[in-house]
Amino acid sequence: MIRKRLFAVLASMLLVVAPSFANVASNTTSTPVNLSIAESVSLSLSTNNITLTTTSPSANVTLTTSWVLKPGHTSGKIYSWFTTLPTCGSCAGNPQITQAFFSTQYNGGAVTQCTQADFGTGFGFPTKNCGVFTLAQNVGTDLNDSASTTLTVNFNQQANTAPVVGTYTGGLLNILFQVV
Amino acid sequence: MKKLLIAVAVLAVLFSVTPAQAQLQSQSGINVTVNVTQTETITLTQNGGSLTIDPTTGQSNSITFNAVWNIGPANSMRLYTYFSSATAALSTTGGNNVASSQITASIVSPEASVNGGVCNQAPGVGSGVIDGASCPAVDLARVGDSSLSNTGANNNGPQGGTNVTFSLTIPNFAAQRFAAGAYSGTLNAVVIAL
Repeated sequence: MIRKRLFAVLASMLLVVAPSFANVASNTTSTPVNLSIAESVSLSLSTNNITLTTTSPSANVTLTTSWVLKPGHTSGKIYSWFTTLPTCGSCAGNPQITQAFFSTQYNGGAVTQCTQADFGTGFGFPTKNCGVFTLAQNVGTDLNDSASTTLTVNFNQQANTAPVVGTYTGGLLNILFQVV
Repeated sequence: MKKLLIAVAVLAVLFSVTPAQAQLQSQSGINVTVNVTQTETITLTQNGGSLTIDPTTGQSNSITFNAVWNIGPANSMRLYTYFSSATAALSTTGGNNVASSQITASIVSPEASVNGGVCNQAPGVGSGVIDGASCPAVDLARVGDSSLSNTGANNNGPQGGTNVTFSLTIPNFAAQRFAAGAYSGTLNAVVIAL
């Protein structure tokens, strides 16, 4: 008997499909991000005009100082000085009220005559310099902040020989805020 | 007599017997295993260079991410963006920092948009994404979209890729009172198929 037997290959076909779609990630991109903040200081005054009179010889001006700084500074100071003294244009001889009649105070503190010598800073007017005020804030660590300071300007009519009665105008008191 | 001889001859032919041959066989089975894996790729590129934040507005310029993919079935393709550090997303050499929680992102993709999302998310997805320093994630595509429609075979990302517009903002910039200096940092991005 012809026995034909096919040669069978027993094949266990195991198709293993390993889907790897879960949590497939792309490459990572890196984008530089930049922010540049320049150093700056600013000073603003509550008023640019004051009038002193015999009966009301003092005036207050609020000084607002602001700063944005890098580390390393040591102090912030406010300076004041006259460059032009008030003059009576309608008076005979156009007399001036000299700096000896004026003084300043900061936050109601010590009175400083506007006859001070050189600040040693490269600005100001020696013999017409008024007071200097150092901010309480540590600008070396308090790097972005502001402060409010009250400047009082005084007219002392008794300081010297009283000026001639009249209206004296054109005086200019400079205020400067400096961070070092 | 002659007929008899023929008959005998015929019978002799008919009854000739081929002697049976013994057949020898040996059989064995082979187990066959085949591993089929899919080649899946997701490629992310960024166009636009760097992000520069304007210190007067707190707003950066915009950049564009582009993603293309060839993957198996997935529920979504999601873009993750993150800074290298939560506490110092941006920093100066002097040690002044901008935290990632002070930064927001605006992201627009074909599938979703985020406006002003804070970059302090913790998505917990791995792949290098830093929890606490991540901006909100956005989907680039979702199952059912033409680029993710195959649930049993590979999906190819759209021709030309999927574009995402991205920008950063530091809200209330002046009130944040940052110190002066040159701040720098890195925004990383990755797309993950979920």
